[in-house]
Amino acid sequence: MSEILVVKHLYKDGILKDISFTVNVGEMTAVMGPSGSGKSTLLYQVSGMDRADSGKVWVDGTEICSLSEDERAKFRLERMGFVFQQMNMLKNLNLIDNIMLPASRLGKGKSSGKEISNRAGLLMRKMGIEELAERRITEVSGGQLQRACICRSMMKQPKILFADEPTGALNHGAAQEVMEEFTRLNREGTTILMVTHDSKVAAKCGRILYLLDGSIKGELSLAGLPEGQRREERVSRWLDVMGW
Amino acid sequence: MKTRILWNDIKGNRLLAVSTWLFMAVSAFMFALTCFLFVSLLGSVDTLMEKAQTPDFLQMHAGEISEEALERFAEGNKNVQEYQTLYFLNLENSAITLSGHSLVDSTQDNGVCVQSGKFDYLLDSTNEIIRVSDGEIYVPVCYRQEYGLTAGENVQIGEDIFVIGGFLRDSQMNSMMASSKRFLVSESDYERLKRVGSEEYLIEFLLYEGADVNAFATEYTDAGLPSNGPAITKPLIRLMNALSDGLMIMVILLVSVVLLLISMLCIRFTLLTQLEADRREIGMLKAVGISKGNIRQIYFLKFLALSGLGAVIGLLLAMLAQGILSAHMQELYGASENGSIGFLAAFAGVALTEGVLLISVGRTLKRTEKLSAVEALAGQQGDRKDDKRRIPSPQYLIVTLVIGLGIFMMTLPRNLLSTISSPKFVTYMGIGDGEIRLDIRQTEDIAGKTGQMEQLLAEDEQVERSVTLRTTSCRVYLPDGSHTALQVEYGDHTVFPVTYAAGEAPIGENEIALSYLCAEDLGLSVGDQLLLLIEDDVQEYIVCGIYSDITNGGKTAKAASLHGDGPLMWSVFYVSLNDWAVRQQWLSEYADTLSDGGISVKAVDIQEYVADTYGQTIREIRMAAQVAVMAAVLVMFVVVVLFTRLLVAKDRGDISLRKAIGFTGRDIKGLYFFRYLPVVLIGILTGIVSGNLLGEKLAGLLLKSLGAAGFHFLIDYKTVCLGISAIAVVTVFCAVLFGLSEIRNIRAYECCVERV
Repeated sequence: MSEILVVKHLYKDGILKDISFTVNVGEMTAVMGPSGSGKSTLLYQVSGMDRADSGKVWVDGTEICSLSEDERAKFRLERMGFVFQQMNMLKNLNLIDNIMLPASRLGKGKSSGKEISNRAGLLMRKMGIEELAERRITEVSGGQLQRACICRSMMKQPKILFADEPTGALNHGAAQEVMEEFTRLNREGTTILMVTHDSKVAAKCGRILYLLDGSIKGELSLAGLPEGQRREERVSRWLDVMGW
Repeated sequence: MKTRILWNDIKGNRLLAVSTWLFMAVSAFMFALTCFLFVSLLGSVDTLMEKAQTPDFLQMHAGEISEEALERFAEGNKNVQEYQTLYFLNLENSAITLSGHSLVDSTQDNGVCVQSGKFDYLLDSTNEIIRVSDGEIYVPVCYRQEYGLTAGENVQIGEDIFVIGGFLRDSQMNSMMASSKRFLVSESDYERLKRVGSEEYLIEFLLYEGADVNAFATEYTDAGLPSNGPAITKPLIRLMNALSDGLMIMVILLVSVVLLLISMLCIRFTLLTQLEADRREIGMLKAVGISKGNIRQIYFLKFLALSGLGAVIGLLLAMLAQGILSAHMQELYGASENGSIGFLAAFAGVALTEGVLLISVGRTLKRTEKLSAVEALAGQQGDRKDDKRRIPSPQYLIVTLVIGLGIFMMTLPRNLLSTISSPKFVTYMGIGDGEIRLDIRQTEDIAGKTGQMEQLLAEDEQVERSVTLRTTSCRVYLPDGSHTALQVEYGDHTVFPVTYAAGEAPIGENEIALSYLCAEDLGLSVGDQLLLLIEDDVQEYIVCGIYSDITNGGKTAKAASLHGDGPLMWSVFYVSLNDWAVRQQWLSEYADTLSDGGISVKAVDIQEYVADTYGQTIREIRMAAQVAVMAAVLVMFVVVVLFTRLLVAKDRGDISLRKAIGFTGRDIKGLYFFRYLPVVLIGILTGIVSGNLLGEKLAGLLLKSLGAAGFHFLIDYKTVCLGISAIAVVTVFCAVLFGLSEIRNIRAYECCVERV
């Protein structure tokens, strides 16, 4: 299985200390750890939103730490997708316009308007929010908004999708719906690296990295285990061992 | 997509968009108006002077002249293109009645003349050379508005009645600042009128292009040609023409600059407020990979659109307003041939204004570059007080600055107005600080008549103080050994002093004060040595003071005494009376006494002189001052409403909480008014201090460039400190009240609802 993300000896502001790991194509990996352990900081470094003090990060074969800020922005636009806890969207645009944003001319997309609109429609249909296309972002629920954010992140068919506490601001029902969408995307071949502090969310992933005080203290593979209660219990026990 | 973001942003932030647009439109309007008026004034003056063929050098003279000597001089001088002597019949003002209005109270020297033969033509309202018929008279155009005259009405001169054939433009004496006015009659009528006036000469020279007028003036004096009267050059005529209307344009320019500053401040602030509010969105855009340039473009596009709209509206409004404001110029000087240049200049002015505003926007937008995606996203939760790169929101400082600038905008034109309206203003123009001025000029035996007059004043019990100042023409030695002519006024200059820009009045025997233009010309300053040639005798003087003077050609000198007597050119008496209230009666009694004694004197009440000479300028500056007050009130109102609304929006949760614990809307409004109190007080104080001090420096710089140095405001403290402050307080009060009206829509339960 080929590697899509390779991280080697990453350091950042004393928060991250000598982090090394890899993510293979098609994997869904969760990063867990207590508050202040450096989970989000790690996500910002490996996605190129921030530059590490030292170390190297390869995404889809490109070492991104040596790229300029603009080059990293272009790289993110072309090869990565993002989903945030706060469901950030432009308040002056409706849902479909927000979804189309990265693929539009603003994102210097090469696709035609019709292609973009068709793809946005398709993604919204898959996520079950097609009928909300023209709604303003203040007129939909948190779960619907987060599904729209996932649609936006998938517009340019990214090689890897990063998610930072994607269910953190959602109620239980909405969180489950969103996680189902992530699982479906992963089954369809999208590689996902997700930061979460929810063991049930992490249990949906194939692998969990445990971060403590800026270092990876453990790794749990859930490959082969069937989804459901047993898997969640396995994760809980492991987290107990790790001192969660 | 960009257009959709732009349009939705404008729709979503209407108040910010409208106020930004308003600032851009008002700035564009003011600068376009300044450009239109400036080009129109210069164009009109130039067109008139070109069509009328204004002389380059003009010597007024009373007494005998030798046409032969003048012709010889003109033929022998390589600079002279054309030469002519015109006759000007000086009339008693009491002898002239314009359609029932007597000119007896006029401080101008009014007289009649015939149309020039070679150049210096008197032109009609279409700038064509006037051909006048017998029985007809053409009246200076400045009197048309002054006395509400129309063609066909009658003018009486002595016993003769003339019909007004039209109104004339006189490229030399059009401005009320020029002390003489020419009426045009036919040659036969002129001959008939000779019995009611005294004839003077205007010796005029048209020089070849590139000739040095100052050098020519020296050559003329050196040749011993007639010079019993002031000599004037073309640049001074142009200055006189431009000064009266130019001051209004300068006021508008100063107001425009202040408005541009306010606009920059406010647009920057509204943008910073928006960036602060959009922090998360900017972070998100960066995170998903939208480039810095594209993010900047989203914001810049909105300002570009508002700026474009503002520029067009500002330009259109300026085109309309310039028609009204330049009406007087057009009447006085005719239409400018610079119509398209005016439009281009206005367009350039607008482009410059909008360019400055957009550059300021561009610079502010650079802040979005400093904001990293991580900071923006991470900053959503934690405490951001320690974040030094956080976009600030200094509402109160901005409001203080805007109130200060608004007050400055109102104070400066008001101070200029009170200064020019004050009788003391003439002391900046070379005229002594007296109540009454009497001139003996362009007559026979000036020295004898001066002596008689001196005695009369000394014996008059109503006279509190008087002083006699005699003017003679001397020569000054220049460092290169050559010499130039200089009019020196000698006598006691401490009794009714002019205002000195540097140094003081001459007291000692070897002290001399120079006019600003003269000191500039000779390259001298206070303390320098000056050699005067008086009747073949070289005398050494020390420059003791420098004063402003735009009279008698602007290049004059003052001394306490002269060693040796040159021929007198004219004498001036300044008088103050024991009882100021009776000055009109005293003037009319004196006029009778003097005419009985055969002394021809021009007597002027200095307050009336100011009203006559600067009346039009005062009216225009008053108009500009009123426009400045309206603009300042509008700007202060809009800014305070805007900032109050933003403040209420920002404090919505706190206001709701206050309501929840029992505060009434009135209580909460009271808190805001209390917060505004120091802001208004500091703003008013800053504005008044800067309007008086910095404004004085600015106005001084502008007037200095026109030859009036050492300028100080004569401030009407009651209007400035009380009137303008009251306007500011009322404006801010109304704006805060209006801005706080949103408070009634905030519900007490809002603070309990989770904020998304």
